[in-house]
Amino acid sequence: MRWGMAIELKRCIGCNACVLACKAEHFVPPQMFWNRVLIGEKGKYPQVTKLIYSVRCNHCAEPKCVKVCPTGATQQREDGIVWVDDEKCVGCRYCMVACPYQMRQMYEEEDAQYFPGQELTEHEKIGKLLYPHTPGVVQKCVFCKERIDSGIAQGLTPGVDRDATPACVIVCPTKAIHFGDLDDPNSEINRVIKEKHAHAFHPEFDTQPSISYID
Amino acid sequence: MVTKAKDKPAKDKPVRGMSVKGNPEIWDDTWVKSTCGGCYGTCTIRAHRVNGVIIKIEGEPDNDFGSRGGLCAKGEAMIQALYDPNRFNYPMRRTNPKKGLFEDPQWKRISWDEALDEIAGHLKRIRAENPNKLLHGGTPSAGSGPDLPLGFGVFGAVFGTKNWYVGGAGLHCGSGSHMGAGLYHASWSIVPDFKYCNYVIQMGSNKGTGSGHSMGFNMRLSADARSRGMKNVVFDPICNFGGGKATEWVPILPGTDAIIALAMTNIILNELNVYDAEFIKMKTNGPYLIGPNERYIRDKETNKPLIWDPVDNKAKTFNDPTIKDFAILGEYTVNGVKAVPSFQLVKDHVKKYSPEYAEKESTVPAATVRRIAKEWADAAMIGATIEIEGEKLPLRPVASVMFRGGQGHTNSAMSYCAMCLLNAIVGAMDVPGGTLGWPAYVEGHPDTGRYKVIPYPCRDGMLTAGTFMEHKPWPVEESKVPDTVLMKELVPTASFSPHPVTSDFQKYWDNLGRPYEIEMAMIFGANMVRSTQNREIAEDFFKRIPFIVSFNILPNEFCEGFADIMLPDCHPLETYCLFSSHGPFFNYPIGMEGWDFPIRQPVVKPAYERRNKVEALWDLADRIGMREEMNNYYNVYFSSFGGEALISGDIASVRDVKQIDPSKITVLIKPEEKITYQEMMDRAFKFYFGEDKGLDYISKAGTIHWPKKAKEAYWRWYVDVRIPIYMEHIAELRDGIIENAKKPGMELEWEQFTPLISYFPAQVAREETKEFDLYSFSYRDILHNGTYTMEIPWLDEVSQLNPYTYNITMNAETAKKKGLKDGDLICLESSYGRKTTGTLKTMQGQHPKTIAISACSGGWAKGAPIAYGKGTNFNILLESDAKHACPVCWSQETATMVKVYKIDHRIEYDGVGGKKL
Repeated sequence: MRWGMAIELKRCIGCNACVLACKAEHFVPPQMFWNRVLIGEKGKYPQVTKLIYSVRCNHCAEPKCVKVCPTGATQQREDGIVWVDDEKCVGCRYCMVACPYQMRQMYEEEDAQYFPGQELTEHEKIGKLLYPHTPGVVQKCVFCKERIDSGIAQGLTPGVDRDATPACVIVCPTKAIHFGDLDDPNSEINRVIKEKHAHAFHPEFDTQPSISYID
Repeated sequence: MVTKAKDKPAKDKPVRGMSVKGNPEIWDDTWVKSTCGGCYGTCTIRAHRVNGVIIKIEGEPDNDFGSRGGLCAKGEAMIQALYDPNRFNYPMRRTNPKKGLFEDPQWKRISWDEALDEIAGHLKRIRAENPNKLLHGGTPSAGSGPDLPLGFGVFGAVFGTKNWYVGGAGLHCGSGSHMGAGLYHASWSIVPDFKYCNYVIQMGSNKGTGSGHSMGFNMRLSADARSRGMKNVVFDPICNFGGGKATEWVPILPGTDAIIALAMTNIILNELNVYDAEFIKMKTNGPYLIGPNERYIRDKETNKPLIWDPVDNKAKTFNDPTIKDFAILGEYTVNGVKAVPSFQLVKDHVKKYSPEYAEKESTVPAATVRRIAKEWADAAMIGATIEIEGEKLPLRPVASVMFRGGQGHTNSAMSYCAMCLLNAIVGAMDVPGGTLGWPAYVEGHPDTGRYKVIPYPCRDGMLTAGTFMEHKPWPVEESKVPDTVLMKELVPTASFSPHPVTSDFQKYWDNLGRPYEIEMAMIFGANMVRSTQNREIAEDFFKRIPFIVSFNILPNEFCEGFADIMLPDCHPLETYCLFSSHGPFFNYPIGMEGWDFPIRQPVVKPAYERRNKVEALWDLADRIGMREEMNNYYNVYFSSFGGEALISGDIASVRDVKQIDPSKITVLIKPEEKITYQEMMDRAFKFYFGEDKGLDYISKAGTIHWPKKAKEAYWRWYVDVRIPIYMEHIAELRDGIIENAKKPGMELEWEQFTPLISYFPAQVAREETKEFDLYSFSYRDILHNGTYTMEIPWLDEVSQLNPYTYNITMNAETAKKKGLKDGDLICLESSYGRKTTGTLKTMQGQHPKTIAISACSGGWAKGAPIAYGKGTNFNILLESDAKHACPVCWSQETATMVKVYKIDHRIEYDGVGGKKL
């Protein structure tokens, strides 16, 4: 079993719903992003194409971040999900340097607030109860492993059942993001990847990402 | 103090459908179904409440009223809007007697009783003197519930004021598109039938990529269409939202869309000789005979318009049952005068719009116009049919759509109608694959037959909407000398009026003898000085008003500068709303997507002393003795959807429109009753859908859902109605308008009052000089809606990551020629000396003669610290007067010529008194 995503660029409109769904799901602190939307353009006037890429940790099959981690904090699960054990991370940032996709961020500003200088909102307060963050460690996308794990425990199928699927996938208003098991030849995601000729973002990095894009 | 995380999966307690670390105590884990308040779209949502706090908002997967499970960023960010510590929690009184753009109101908390007593005192006096002294309005926009007809609309109508100033009037809304969508589709706006459409032409529109209307289902359906290969040609000065998802982006100068549409019409009719003759004969006024005076030739006995029957070789009234065929070409003699079918006139008229002429005006190469016209006409498949649920229907898989950008100019009405003409000649209107209005034809819920809206043929057989909530431009009222400060009665085709917040209003009012003065304003949910037009013009008007009441959730530039009393409104996540359920008006899913009547209900209780504004209005009504009249109005409102009694009283003066039958009004609320808002909702639901479908039922179910019939989705050929491809009503109005404009002394571009849909250069183009050489315009960014979304930290963060949202964009080559580069602080100065500043970001995907700003940014309210100083306020650059308004629909000119140069600081913040930028 190896979880993966395929993102249809024709569908994506750059609305950033995936970014905010992730922020809400994990109470991601201010100025921290586990996923982002990259906006750019290619071509010269008047032959121009706008580029929109929803990006996050690629959960690579050959993750450079795991190899460089000196403490074993950055780990890869059997299902391919790369995550950071807060208790083992010493904040050395080797993984941030190693990740060619720059999908990791250091969480330092423990006191950062969404409304600086004002009281913490009720929403921020409950976030510290439900999904507390440890300062001084590196953070990244975890493919919503908590949703996947609790979903599977309840007999649900990630990529099919909403409650077992990453938050950024189910929130997408254009249904641009497919999620499923890359190891299952009959999975919907493998059908989409094959039929629509999905390709990795920057394949030259040679890390075998679990996320692919469809032009 | 942050708790040390114990992120060891084995010890984490799994919680279904949410990410939790460790083992927190959870005593409330509830999902509540409701609708989103992030924009006009009102998509269905489900909100997750844990321990009394909303932690997540998702799209509702189980119905069609949205994105079927998805939601945009604005919707998700509503959590932070709800919990914003800057919100109003109590009624507030201004203690600073001075009013002005940058004044600090020095709020002082007061009680609801004190606030309402004082407001009621003013209202009572004004109602006795002259109700028109009350200006009321606002916008059904984000952050505040859209309870427009059930709240402020009812209150103002019953109070008796005709001065209803809508926040969207000036800028972000589409006066031309609402007029045109009403005229041609009996709807508020239009959408391509994404399911079957193969070729869309978008002109200054953002369908599915940013527009607030129909946000959720448009995003979903347009993505499906792009994915299956629908061609999407976008005429737009910028390749960002609409243009960014185009299969072909065609850069165009602002304000020239009409000539593209007319040149394509010319090519299709006169070069390709292609048109849907059946549609023109049966569904338009194309066969109506026009006399030398530009007017219909009418039957002397019945006064009905005449057509020519080429089989019997004689003129007949348009709905004569003996008609064997309709002539749409040729020239005839009737009643002794030359008589030409209007289609022939239209066909001849568009000949002057050659692709070369279009190129000269718009910069779009003539060959491109010619190619796209041919491709589109070929794709229309005239004559093709499709079978849907056993119904054989015309299939016209092409659509041409426009919204604010395309029609935000002084040629607004003509531009929009030109775009509609393109659809009409190929019959691609409310049929599979074509351009659809929000469904205008609802037969009602199967159990009750209620919640029923049926368009009907009105005067001269013309299409008229079956609900009074739609624009009803046909048949228009007669022009009158204005007696409201909106002055709209002068030009009955106007949708919304920029008056009285214009620089020439006082002159007209003086000329009219100043019939009365506005002594009080009640405004809900809008930001009249930042989002609607130039702030100095707005300041000049609003600071004259002695007493202003504002309902809002959050301080903004308008309430800080001008409100005397602020009433704390509920956020959409903490209140009920009934109006947002009434979808055909605004957001109903198109095509065969099902009918839904979703509920908006509180996910959390309103905190502090925030109140549902409609209940607060009822308290005011009680104090001034107006509650009984409001109750009666509600009965008319709900009954008008009941199928038994048609069309409310507030437009009773409109000629030939169906009136309400008083004997058929169902009394849902007895005049003397004082019920709660929930009780009103309960009764309305039961009336529409049956005794078992009250508030309890719909609160749990989230929506009343029932399937749509093919004849409802694609109603055009099921209702015997026609549309005016020749706008005889405008010719009819012209002389009266010219006469009635004399007294106020208003000069309009009279030439635009022509029945033939034409191109007129926009005012912006007339102001181009060597010095003021760039067309500046604003555009809708998908991250924002109005002004208040800029106060939401999550949206602010992602806006800062976006290269364009908070920056001023221009073509890279143009910037280079002017010695400008990315990151420069630049000033845009209009030929009228108005200035605004911001940071430059160059693009390839932008017309070289333009400069662009994301709409409504550049906040300066001190009570909205997240939005403060972010982006650039474009509206500062605009003029607001009759010269800069479309004479027919009164849309403002929303583009202006500027010169651009480097500057050392944000001059528009001089005098604001907030933090330095």
